Amino acid sequence: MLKAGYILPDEQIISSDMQIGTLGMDAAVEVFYDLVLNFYPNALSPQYDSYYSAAVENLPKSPSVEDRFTKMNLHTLSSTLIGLEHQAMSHRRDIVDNEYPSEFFEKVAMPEEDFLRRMDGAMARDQKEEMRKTLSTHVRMERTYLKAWRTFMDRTRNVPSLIDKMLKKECTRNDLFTSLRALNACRFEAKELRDKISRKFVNGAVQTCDEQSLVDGAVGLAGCSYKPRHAAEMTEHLLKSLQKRPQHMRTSYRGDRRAKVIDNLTFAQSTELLKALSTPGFASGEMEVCIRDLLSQLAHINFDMIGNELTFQEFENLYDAYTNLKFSDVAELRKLWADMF
Amino acid sequence: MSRQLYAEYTTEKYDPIKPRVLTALSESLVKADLRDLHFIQMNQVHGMEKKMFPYAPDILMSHGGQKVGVFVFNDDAVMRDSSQVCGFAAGKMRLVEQAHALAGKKGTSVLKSVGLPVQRVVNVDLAEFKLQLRSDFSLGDFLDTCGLGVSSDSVDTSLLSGFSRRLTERAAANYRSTSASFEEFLLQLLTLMQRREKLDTVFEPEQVMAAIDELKLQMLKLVA
Repeated sequence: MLKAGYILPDEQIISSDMQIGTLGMDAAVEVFYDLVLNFYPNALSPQYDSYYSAAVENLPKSPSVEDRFTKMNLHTLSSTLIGLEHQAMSHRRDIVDNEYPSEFFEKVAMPEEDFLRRMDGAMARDQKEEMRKTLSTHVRMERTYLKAWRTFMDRTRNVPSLIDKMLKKECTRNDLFTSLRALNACRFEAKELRDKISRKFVNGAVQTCDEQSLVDGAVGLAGCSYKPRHAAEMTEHLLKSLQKRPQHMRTSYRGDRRAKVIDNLTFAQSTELLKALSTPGFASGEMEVCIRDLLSQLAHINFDMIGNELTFQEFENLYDAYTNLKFSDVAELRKLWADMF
Repeated sequence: MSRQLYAEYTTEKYDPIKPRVLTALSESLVKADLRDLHFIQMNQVHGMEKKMFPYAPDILMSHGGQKVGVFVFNDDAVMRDSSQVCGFAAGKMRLVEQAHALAGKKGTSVLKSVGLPVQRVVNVDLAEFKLQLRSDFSLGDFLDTCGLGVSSDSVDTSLLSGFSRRLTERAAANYRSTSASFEEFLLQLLTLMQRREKLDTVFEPEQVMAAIDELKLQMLKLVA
């Protein structure tokens, strides 16, 4: 949670506890409890388990849904790699502070902490506490030189061969979309493998994709300069799927206004998708409808305090999307930018 | 700017390698006393306006008669198996090219962006304190592999005077990028020469006429 940046409001207190070695699980549990109490109170309801059981009892259980996370298949591997890459590139400091390539660079990047260590015996306790509150909660060095990223790069050397093996088994379209993004996350262009994935996608049975897989597919296609052989068909399927009615709404809630998949994305998914669809080289006039839908949703949010309401990654995604549209080489998207901003 | 509200933006500043690579490339280009010198100095003085250009290349230079923006990237923006820039970084490079074209400054040549991974210039192992210049790296060769080499339809302009050479090269770069007819192109050249003549009395009318004749000849070779 520290690394993922979920505990921002109380991090100063946690930081000071961390320095004197009393953080442990107790502080994390306390912050987690506060977070849940403030933002997801229904999760603490004693009846929650009963509600959940009642809700899922009558749902049709398909084998693919059951198997998805219980054994290592292509989707599990790919989504794990995407998550690990996110963590490896996190700006947050590691809880045990062992992330700089050597002690020398730690001292260069954070001289005030070295000073604090050296002056440990010469300062009063309250003085030290005050000073600790001003210490940075984020890494201060280019992240690609830190141990997290180096380790991730080192341990993911064999990912293309693993994905290639897994492609021999039966794969859904969700798996294939997510695997494209996983290749990006591990920084592999792997042209032949991408061609293979796109071929399997086109030749496989037509299936409905879930929201996250569609976002992964868009990021996977936009995040690599190489376009797989059947990229056009994949993009077409992606755009059509975004405009469809969601699977869980096809039998009920017929009058619901938010009747398209694209309207049911989370905010983080929306920003990622917006950035991907507007990326020069991937963007085209066909994406105008989807981008317009996303921008309309975002326009209704009315941000007041950007620093509090958006994470850095979301802000970066939105800024990139804004500039992508403003200077797009697709005339329709430039016009869309002029209409919406 | 709103980005400065974030601790992520303000804290991650220390990069031990990239600034050194940039300095080394810029200084060596300047000291080499090439024709690139003119472009580097010009762009260092004027800069690229933030309003018009959302992202700026790390180095601006000229190569093969083209204005080149070199983006130097760390590992996270580069594919490890092909050394190609990832899609989002390549998108930013295209964006700068597009913004440059949309800005539509008169006399500004087309900007071509290239992405240069740091790992192509140096081998780095910070844990072992190792930093080694790669002996197989050559900026000229790298730019050539990016499709920026001297094209087959270019001509040797070394015999022309400095002014005529620069004018010819820049005009040729502009001609490739526009759909203007050849007559219009020559007319533009003449207008440029006349403006120059008014501003600078160094040139005698005979010299100007000789330069125009020479330019016409070179232009004919270009489109032949």
